[in-house]
Amino acid sequence: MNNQSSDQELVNFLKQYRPNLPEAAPDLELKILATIERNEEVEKKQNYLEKVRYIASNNRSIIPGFPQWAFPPAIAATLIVFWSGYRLLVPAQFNPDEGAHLEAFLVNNWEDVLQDSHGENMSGAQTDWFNFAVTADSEPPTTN
Amino acid sequence: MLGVSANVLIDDCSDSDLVAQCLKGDRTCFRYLYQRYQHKVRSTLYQLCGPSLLDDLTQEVFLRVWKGLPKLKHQDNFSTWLYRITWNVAYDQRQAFAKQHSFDSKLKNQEEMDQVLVKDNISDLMQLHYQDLVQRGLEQLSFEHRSVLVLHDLEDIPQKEVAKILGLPAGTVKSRVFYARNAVRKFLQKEGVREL
Repeated sequence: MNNQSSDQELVNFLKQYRPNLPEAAPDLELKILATIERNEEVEKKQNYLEKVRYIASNNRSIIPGFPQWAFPPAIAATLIVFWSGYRLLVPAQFNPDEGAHLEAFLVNNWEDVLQDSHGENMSGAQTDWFNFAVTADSEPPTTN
Repeated sequence: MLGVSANVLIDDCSDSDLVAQCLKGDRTCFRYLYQRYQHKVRSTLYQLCGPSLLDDLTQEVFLRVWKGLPKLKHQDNFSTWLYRITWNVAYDQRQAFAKQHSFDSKLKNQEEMDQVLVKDNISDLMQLHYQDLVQRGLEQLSFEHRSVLVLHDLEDIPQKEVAKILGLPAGTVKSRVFYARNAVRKFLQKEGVREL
């Protein structure tokens, strides 16, 4: 009874009368693709959070070889270095009072110098200077 | 015209080509795989789990496929792997249904049947009667025997491949096919089908 032909008859019967497959929802394909996309985004977020949690739980540094506890002191030290460098490199602001004072000092100083030299050498130097400029081809006096 | 030539190109593409493209993140190729296999997947799920949640189960299968693609070692065996996932989803669903699958579902099926009978009139009565018998014949099998019968006899998958899908020795599949056919035949004969 259960030979190959009767098996084939049974299979044919089952195929012929198997219940009709209901139609799929028209948007099923799009739904599946949308679900895949949503799922991937969620997975990406989860992976990122897991990575952060893993780093935090193991007290591991984001930069290999640099311990996590050293971050605040390092940041403070960097700020101090920048601040002091700025103070050293930027010139002090010029004070207008100091400038006026310095200018007056220079003028006075220069005038004093001029007056001193004027008093001492006025007669000789001035005449020499004027005499020297009289003729271009005049020779200096000889002492013969 | 463009659509036709595109379809021809897609038909020429092997499963492994499409899988390779999917692994590069190409969702269009995944769409082609879906279009190629969705009918077989839905049909198998329908025979194993019935009409309720059919679209949800199909969605679950293809979601698992997309997630599992990077782990697929032999891309040539895509269809076997796909059937394996389909069977897993059906199995999980059967487990979830196990507590509820009792009088309620039978009652619901009977109600659906009555509605169909009223709608389609008496001309298709014999056809509907036989369809009901086949459905019930499959339902009275254990899930293991039903799986083998659906995959081998209804989906035309060779026994060796069924063995791969279910992770069973070929001999076990053969004996299960034998047992399942006998059980269904007896049921149908008992219900008055004389052609077998």
